[in-house]
Amino acid sequence: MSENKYNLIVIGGGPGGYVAAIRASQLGMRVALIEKDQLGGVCLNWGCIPAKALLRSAEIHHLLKAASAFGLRVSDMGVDWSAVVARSREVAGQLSKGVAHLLKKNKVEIISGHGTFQSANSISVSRDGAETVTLSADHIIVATGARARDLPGITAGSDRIWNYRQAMTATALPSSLLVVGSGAIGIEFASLFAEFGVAVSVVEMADRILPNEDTEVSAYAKAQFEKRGIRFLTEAKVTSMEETASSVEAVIETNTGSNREVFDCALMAVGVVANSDSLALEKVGVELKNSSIVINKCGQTHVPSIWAIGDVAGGPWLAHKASHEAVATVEHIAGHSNAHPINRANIPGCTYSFPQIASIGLTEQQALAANHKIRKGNFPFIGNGKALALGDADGFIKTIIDDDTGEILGAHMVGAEVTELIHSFVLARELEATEDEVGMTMFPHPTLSEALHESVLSAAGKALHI
Amino acid sequence: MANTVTEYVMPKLAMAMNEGTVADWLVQDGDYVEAGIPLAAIETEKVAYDVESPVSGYFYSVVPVGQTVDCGTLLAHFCTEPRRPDAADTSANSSTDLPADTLGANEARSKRDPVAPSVVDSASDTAATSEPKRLKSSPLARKLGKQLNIQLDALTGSGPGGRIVKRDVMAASESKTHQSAQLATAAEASGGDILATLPMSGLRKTIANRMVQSLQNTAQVSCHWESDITRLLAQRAELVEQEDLLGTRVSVNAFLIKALVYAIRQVPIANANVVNDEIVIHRNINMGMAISIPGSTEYDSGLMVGVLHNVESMGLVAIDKGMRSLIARVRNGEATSDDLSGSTFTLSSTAGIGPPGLKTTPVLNQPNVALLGPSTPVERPMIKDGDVKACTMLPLSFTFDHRALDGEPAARFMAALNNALEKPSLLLT
Repeated sequence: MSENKYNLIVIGGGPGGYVAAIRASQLGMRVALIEKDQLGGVCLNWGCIPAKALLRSAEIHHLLKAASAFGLRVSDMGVDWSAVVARSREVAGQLSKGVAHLLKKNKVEIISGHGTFQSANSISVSRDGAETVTLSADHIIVATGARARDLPGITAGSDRIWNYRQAMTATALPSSLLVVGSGAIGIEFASLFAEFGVAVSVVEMADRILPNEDTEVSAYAKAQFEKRGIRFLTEAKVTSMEETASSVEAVIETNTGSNREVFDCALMAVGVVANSDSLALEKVGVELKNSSIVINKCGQTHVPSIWAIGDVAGGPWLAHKASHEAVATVEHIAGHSNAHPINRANIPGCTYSFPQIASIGLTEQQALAANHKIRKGNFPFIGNGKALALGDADGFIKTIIDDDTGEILGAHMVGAEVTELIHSFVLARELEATEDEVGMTMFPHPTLSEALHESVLSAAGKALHI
Repeated sequence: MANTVTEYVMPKLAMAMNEGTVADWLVQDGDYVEAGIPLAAIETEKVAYDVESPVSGYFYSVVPVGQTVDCGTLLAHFCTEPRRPDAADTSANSSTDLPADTLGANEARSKRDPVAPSVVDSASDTAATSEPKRLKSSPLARKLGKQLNIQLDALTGSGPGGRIVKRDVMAASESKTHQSAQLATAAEASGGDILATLPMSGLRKTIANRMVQSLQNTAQVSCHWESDITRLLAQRAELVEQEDLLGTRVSVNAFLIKALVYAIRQVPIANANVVNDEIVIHRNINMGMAISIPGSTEYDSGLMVGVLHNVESMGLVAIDKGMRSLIARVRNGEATSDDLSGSTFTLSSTAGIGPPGLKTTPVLNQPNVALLGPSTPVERPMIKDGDVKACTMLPLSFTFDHRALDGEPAARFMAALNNALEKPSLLLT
């Protein structure tokens, strides 16, 4: 094999790309990974991880404010925002180094630069505008991710009109913040800044916040966020935004009319757009739809040697989905005996707000729309001993059970640490456990997990603590 | 109290049975079971048997429903005390004592339709739910299988490690619906391209496996010739006239079996089985007969080999009667284990179905080393003693396993058979 000839080239070193490269190497392939920026992609550097580090600071802040309720005295409490950001960057940096180490350990060749397609089997890599090398491979996986979407006429990325990058590295806390979009990203930043005393307004086009979640979860979460001082404008849209030296002026259109409001800063969180441009995909005939690469269930594009995984291949835009697609696609390419396409009906969603939100499967509305005859389970954390001990008993776990088969069609949670509880339902669904098996499972006491057990039991009228 | 334990092993219910599947336990763990009551449904490749309890005692299963094990493998315990045996308990007798008793004691009842292991039970609230199963399936798949009446053991799992999951059951259910829909529309004709989709399962799968195995593991050679059966038919006509007296309308096949007995006596190695690298030549001639049976749909067919034992000691009439009742038992699903095992030679006829003069290359019925495939006779002008005569010629295809049988004995066998068919008086010898 010549020096620049590989079994597999992966473009992009995020949670899709680097996982693909490692798995391919494990399966005996010679792998090159092309990354133009930092290993770990948005997730590690500008998304999941640094955001969770920031939210941890906010959570501790929230607990300290309530210290007296726990019998503790705290004085001279304050926020050093730049230190909060610094810690977040440190955590991200640590993980990014970890990825580099993992790739090295697995003998993946890391090529720094921007890759563009020369042909269906070759990639030209350039750095600072100059071509450095041309690589060829039997297979090429595109894992270039996605970036924040702009609204028409509003371009984020400035000092006052932010996307997630500016939001997580803001030099100072704003006094007021307009968040456009109430998906996971918008809600997490709203929670973060509201906790640190920022006056946060969230604008959502749909008639409810977190529109992908079950309506009961949306409504409950909205009330909780409002208690923490977040203001919501639903069925509303921002029609224009102007940045001045000291503020952002936004025109917000609601059912009741159009209002001009002034904020210190604004965060655009209206979804993402695939990084499918500037790869010369059109040159090799890869098909796109709304900027996402069109793939089959194994990740293959219309060009047999070209594959795509993660955000660039369409939603949901989640790191764990990208990583799983990576493994499934690489194993499929390798002809691995146990290769399986990912189960798209079983991708969990988590929002790390206060309270947290997590869900899997069908919402009540989706289950009914799909003509399922359902039974609903619900258990509030107020009935859970561990939640009371934590002093964090807001929220509930709702389960949607198929009345005929006992299949767990969906689970929807809001409350303490629910992002750490959802995996039980993901596992149960993956193993196709029904309500009977979950009902028979012993959950340790005292834990929050008992609430999910009780929720499933309650769907059959068998809950014990409510 | 001392708990005396009797071990119950997978019985050997037929000569050719090497393994069996516990299709169902007919008693519950912990039940006190009297000797002689129906104990379990045991399935082999071909037949399902209900076996009776050989002893009395408290029953505790060891092998769960659905599991396939070798004959002689421990299946269950019979205890004198109502508790599962432990290390301290004494053994009443050795496990190998029982299968022979079982073989003798049980009147084996067979069903053509395989009985499905009741894997669905595990989804219910009853006790034996957590027992391990060889058939890997999800709880949801089992529940759906029960609801949609889909037998899981007939499915190929698409989950990790071949686990049967919801989508497999749904696909099977859809294909079942699809099939009935297709069959319904077939009457109206034209419609779609697919007339019917038939699952490769159950009997079909067994046939497929055996055919492929036979072709892969043997050195099959097929030969063809025609025997003049004009005289044989004349003799048969005499017997047919006596139908009322004889109690049967003696068939050409009965003559053929007689002729095969004659030829086997000349060349005994044609009456043999290859078993574990040994060629076992048999004294008794157990005639395997390929019997067509109805398939699962009007488009499908089924095939089973019935066995007429000890034809060497039978006359034409006995052979004919035995053959007719064997075919009826197999087709009605009433075949006993003996009816379906122990063949030493196979007869696979397409006579009366295929066109006159048809030549075939029949696939050996393993472990038999030889098979005769007669087909529909054809009228031909033949030169006999210098004259042209109208003769009825029987086309014969003979397949032999060259691993066991070389060309010379095979040719001698065919010559002997031809001789017997053309000079039917030899059949009286």
